[in-house]
Amino acid sequence: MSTRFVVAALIGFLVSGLVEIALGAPGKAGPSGPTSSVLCLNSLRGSLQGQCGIVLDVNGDGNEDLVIGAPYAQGPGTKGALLVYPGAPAGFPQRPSLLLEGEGNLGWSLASLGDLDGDGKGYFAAGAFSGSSDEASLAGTVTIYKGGVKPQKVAVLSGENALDKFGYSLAVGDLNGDGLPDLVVGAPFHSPSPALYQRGAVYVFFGDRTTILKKEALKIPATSAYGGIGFSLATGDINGDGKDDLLLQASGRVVAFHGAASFNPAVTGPNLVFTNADAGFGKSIAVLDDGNVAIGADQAGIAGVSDSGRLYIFNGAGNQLAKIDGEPNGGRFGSAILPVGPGLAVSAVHADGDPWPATGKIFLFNGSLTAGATVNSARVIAGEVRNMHLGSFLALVAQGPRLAAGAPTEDANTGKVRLFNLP
Amino acid sequence: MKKLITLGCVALAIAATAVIYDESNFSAAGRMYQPAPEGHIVGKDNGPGSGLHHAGEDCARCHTMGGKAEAYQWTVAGTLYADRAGSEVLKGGEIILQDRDGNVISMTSNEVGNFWTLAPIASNPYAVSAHGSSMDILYVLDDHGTLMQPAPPDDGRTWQYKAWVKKGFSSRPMMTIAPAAGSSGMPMTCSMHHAVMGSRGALWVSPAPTLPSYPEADLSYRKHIYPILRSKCSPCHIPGSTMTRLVTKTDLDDPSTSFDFSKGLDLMTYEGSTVGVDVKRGIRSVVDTANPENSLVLRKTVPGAVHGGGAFWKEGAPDYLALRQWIGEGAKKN
Repeated sequence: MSTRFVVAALIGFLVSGLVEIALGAPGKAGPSGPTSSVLCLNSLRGSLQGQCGIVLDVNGDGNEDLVIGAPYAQGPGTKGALLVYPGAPAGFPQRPSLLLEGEGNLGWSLASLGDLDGDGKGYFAAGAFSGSSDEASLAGTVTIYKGGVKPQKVAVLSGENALDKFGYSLAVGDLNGDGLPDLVVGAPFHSPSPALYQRGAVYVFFGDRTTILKKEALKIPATSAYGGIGFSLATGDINGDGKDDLLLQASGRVVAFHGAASFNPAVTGPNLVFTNADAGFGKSIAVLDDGNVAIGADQAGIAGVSDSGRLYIFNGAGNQLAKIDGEPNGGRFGSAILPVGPGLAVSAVHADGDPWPATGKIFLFNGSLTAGATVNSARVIAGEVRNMHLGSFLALVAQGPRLAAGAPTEDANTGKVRLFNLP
Repeated sequence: MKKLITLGCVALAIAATAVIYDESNFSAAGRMYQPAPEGHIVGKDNGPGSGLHHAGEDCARCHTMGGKAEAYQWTVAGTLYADRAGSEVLKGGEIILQDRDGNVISMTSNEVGNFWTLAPIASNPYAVSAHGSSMDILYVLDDHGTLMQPAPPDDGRTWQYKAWVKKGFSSRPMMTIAPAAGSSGMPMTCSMHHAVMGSRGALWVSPAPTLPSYPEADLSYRKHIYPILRSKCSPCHIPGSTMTRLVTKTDLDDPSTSFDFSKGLDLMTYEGSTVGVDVKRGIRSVVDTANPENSLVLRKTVPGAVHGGGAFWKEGAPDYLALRQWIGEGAKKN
């Protein structure tokens, strides 16, 4: 056996070892167990790949694909991009098969609209917080893509005024119960009036059988009672009436509007308000399969350590069912939340990993969270690279199943996405 | 008439530069029109290390006593962008500070826009700590007004500086005197308030035009002009209260010298605005449709003009020409 072969084999062994990330035992971090993959386009330096991501069958081949946002990708005349990783039974390629370039920081947010026309190819929406349109410059835009081998733009939604950051956040749900998905877009720096300067607005584009989404949106502006909206959104049925409801973070509170055939929150006002004094309450919001609501307060102090984070579980009537403290290490527990079956995945993007500090961690809770639950009962996935922000987004790949997690600040803000096998 | 106005502006500018900036005028009012210091080595005070992480975030979250990066301290840090929207980081921009003793600190932003320094900032013996509605006078005077006990020099709130960001001729001054630490004693960063997704928008400087192009005629307020105003003129010319904080004894002296840094002008609302007691005029008050180049919004924003907000563009630059054209077309809300 030649020396070169031995050296190459050793290098290969070391490289494959470096990309192996293990799922730790409950309450413990560190390598052991199933392996993961690392997805990245290294040539897009400083692009924040992994800022957001969604799972859907884009190309209609029956396998789930990954669409990843890279909002700071720079190209000739472009700013922002979407990376498409086609899924296959064997997994995902380490590099994307397709790069959809855009402008205005395209790829800051993503949402799946599903297969709207029954051809097996999913539609999706991508936010560009500084995008421009024929209607308004620098207001932010959301581009609707129709799935395919090469997804095609079918519509561009626009914010109202420059620097509104329309498209900062996205959510999809059937708020009016007509069987069609509605797209909800946050514009957290919109000014409904001088007195409400930069207090935000949320726009609901109802589904339409002919045009996919109605062109005119229902606007939910900030009010003097509820401002600071547009940063964090979620949908789901919390009152059990079969229609999705809309939940918004609003300056330390989460306000909920029940879905209705004539959904119009600006007229009806909120149906429920979740209130909590923890800093960052509402940073992440998720409606669970049982209709309960999970809310992250990522800046809550724990044992005197600020920005450690806390997670709350409420029922649909607003009663608190559980409170889970993050580790007292400034980890921002509650940065992102993803329902995983009856359980929950919760990220802490600044938590200390093994061996490096401030890598990020993901906590996997099995089953419903009840009073008395702690992070010690969770299986832990710890980041292995300093300052990677592991868990900036979380998405479930049913095939496996696997958990996709963004690490957008890894490698001088180039970013990566990691896939972890789930038990 | 135009020549007279130009000469007047130049005279004012010369008068401003003839001012000696020392401890006697170390206040927001005293430094309002101070141009950025020159003659120093750019970036001479850049801190050690690579600092390629967490661009845009509040550095003080980890780089603080008891924090994850406690061993890596600095006096001032932040992230610099090319525009207020924070759509693009800026490498090679200069961040200039000047403290009470006249020391100039100069940093440059790296490839992810981050900057930081270990350079000491002089302590102001007459420092006041103001945050929201609370105020803490950190020095002690006797009955005759003589300084008995200076503000504690080891208290970061007394480390005060005037700041600018600069890229080429484009210069953005800070409208107040800033402390290096907050009321809780924690170190402060520019990113604490000037965050990409924060109320004041990203810390930014760039001579680049706001939009990639403008039409030669038929400009739209909403599509072409408002983006310029929102990108360049906030967070000073905004609705609501825009009074400077009281941070020095000079600010407290009778009469108090807290001033409205918007000068009663709201460029975010075409008609102007009334928010509580703050009544502000709009864009029409600073345009001259009969003689567009005479418009205040143009005369005060070119290099050499006296403007607390600094210089944004040169005559002939795309944003300047777009504004001038729109004004000449009637400055309509279209």
